[in-house]
Amino acid sequence: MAIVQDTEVLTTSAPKRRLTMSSRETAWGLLFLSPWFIGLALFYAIPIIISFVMSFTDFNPVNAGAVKFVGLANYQWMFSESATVSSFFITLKLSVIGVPLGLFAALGLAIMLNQKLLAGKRVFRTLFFMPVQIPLVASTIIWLDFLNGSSGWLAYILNTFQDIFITLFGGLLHISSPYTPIAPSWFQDTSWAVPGLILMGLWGIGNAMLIFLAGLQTVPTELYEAARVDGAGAWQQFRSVTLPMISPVFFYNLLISVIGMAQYFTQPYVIGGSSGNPGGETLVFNINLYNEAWKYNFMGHGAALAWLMFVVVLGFSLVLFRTSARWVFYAGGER
Amino acid sequence: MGRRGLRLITLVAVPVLVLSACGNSGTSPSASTAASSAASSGAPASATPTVAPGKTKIVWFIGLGSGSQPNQLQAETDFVNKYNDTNTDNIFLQVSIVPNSNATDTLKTQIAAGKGPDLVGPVGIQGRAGFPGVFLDLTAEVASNKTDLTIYGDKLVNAFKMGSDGLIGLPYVLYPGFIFYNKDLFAAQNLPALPATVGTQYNGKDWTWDTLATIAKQLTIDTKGKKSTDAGFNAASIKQYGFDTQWINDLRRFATPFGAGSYVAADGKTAQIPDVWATAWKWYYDAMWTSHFAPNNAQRSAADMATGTTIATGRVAMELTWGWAMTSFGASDANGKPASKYKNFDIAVLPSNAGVTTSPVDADTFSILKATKNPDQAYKAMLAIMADSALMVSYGGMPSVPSQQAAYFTAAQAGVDSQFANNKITWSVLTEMAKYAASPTHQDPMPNYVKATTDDQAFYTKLQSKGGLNMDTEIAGLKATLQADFASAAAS
Repeated sequence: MAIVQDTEVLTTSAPKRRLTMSSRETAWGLLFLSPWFIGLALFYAIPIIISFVMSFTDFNPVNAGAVKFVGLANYQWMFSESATVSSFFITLKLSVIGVPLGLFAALGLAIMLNQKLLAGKRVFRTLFFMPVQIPLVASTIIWLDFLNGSSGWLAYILNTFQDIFITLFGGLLHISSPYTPIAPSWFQDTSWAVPGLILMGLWGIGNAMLIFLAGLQTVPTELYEAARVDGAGAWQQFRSVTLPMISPVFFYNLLISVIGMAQYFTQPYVIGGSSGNPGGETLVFNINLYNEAWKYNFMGHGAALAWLMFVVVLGFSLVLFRTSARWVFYAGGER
Repeated sequence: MGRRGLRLITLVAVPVLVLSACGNSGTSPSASTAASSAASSGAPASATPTVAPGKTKIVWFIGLGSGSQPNQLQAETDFVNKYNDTNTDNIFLQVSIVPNSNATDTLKTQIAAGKGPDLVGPVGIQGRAGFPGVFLDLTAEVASNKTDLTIYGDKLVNAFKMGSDGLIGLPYVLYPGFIFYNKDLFAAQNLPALPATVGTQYNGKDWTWDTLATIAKQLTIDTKGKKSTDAGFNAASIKQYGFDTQWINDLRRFATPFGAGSYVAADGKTAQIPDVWATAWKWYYDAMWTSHFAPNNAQRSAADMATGTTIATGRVAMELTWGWAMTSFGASDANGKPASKYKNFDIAVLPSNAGVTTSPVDADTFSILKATKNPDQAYKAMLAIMADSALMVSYGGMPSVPSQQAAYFTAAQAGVDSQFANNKITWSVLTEMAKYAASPTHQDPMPNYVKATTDDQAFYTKLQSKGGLNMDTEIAGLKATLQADFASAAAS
């Protein structure tokens, strides 16, 4: 009984500690966010850690019990592996040509769609953005047919123009039938596969175009008016007003495009499969990574390649951020 | 709703959301529905009924090779149901059917997770290649079960002995290589039928690859009716080709009809290119880019060439192809009409090279995983599967046991008859070609097998995609690449 009394005393003398309103809100917030946290841990954080550890092992999924630590051997291997080197340079070639081309094409379209005189702007915006909504595999298959060197529409158009030209001027130029068709075979020709991928990539610039368009529409019209008063022509207005004012948007699109190239996989895989057909010309870095990890069972090689790509993209991003102070201008002067 | 009610809903909803995001539906489909949905969806399917007490469950993984086509699923389901009801070995057979495109990854994942099946098949050498050291040497099971291997012959049994892995399967069905030819296109050029036996001459000449090239040139015609041997022939506008290959994606398969060989020397680590293979590739390269009697990559992937299934177009006079292609010769379209654009066809023996006839023979089998806890029951189930004639017919291969071959030919002819009127196939060509099986096979083991095969395939498409290459330089380049692959395997 005494004990009961003591308990009652304790209960009454020390009231139950209640959470403050702010703590309760935090707790509920964390509870609502917990599915995301769990997903982040399960599907991102833990696999990232595991892949890092795996890059120092010879893990083989069909012989998982025999895994052993190999130190930096996987990192040494990739610099001497011809497929890794060639796939890296194919990806680099696609990036160096494709990214600037895509950005300037997107900017060009955005400028065109921002013109006051253009009729049917909404229709054009929808049309140019529409390819982004088409699943990549489906659009790649359509492009494969479109660019077929023998039966594709583009080949038909080019070869028809060639036929007309030779019919009209063949005699003057001493060209007689049969002559070699002008249309390239794109994905069936080792020399044209990479240009084919770049051409195909230009079709999907709708997203970048839309972001540029949004950027262009935020440029204050007073700046253009002031430039005109100062005697600036169209090119000077573009160079001294438009480009600086949309440079944050350009910076964003450039960063996203580079990261996109680092993730480039679906289109070349649909076109050339895991062998990178034709003749290994579509074997981009990520297909080589996929092959090493899942096709050849060298998970350690695959993990090391993934970390190499991470370091390259991180390095490029850091360079971009470091140099952005020189070429990216924020209206409020903030960075 | 009060605050307490809101909290209750939240507490229930959060774990439900997490579980639904991480888990699957948890339903247990029946064997037939699971199989058909797997074939269409790409997801693995397995029948998961309860195993009766006292029975041993054996999981049969299908899809690594043949077996996941819709017409095969019914035969497999029927067999499993019958076997589970009637077998006296207390075995409960459970199928796990995965579409071929996903099968390798699925099996790897299962093995890595320690949840691999007991039995895999039917599967060929290529399908098994990604799993070195995984399959059981059946020698002990053959001895303890007193399996008679003499019915197959030593040569065939030895083809299933894979180095240190031992005997990883028993001969099941064979798919010899041969020449398919369109009889109507031959008749249009007044050319006689091709030889059905090795040693028979063609039009007074030995049946060699050069002879084949000669008639292929006569059978290659441009859109203006000029043959490839005529002046003014337009190679950019060809209506009919003399020769092509069907469903070949690697150079070893193409080269072996010119002579058997291997990429790896006797020491097991040095890369080599057999001379007969270099001859074969140069022959094919000339056919595409100089003589123009075979379509190149751009031509064969065109829409009007059935995007690579050129055999179906009726525009190719001869095709180098394999026994497993027979099931699709009479394929029908969505309206039940023949999908193929030819009416009369037959098959012929492969030509010889330097006086030697060689056929690359594909051989499917079943393999048991080393990790199985029940190797004896798995072996017994495997023997039962191999003995079922309905399953064998559904897989479409010629039985490796000679006494079973006549029934197979009758069934295969019935399949042809259902699509082509009065088109009798010279089935003896298959048995004739099986006698000339390549040794070593065109899928001979080599270090870093899958990677070396991938490089071989890339080289094959390069030849098909680029004219004007110096073949000697290219072949030397392939040899160097293969040597690097072999060295990489040794280092790993």
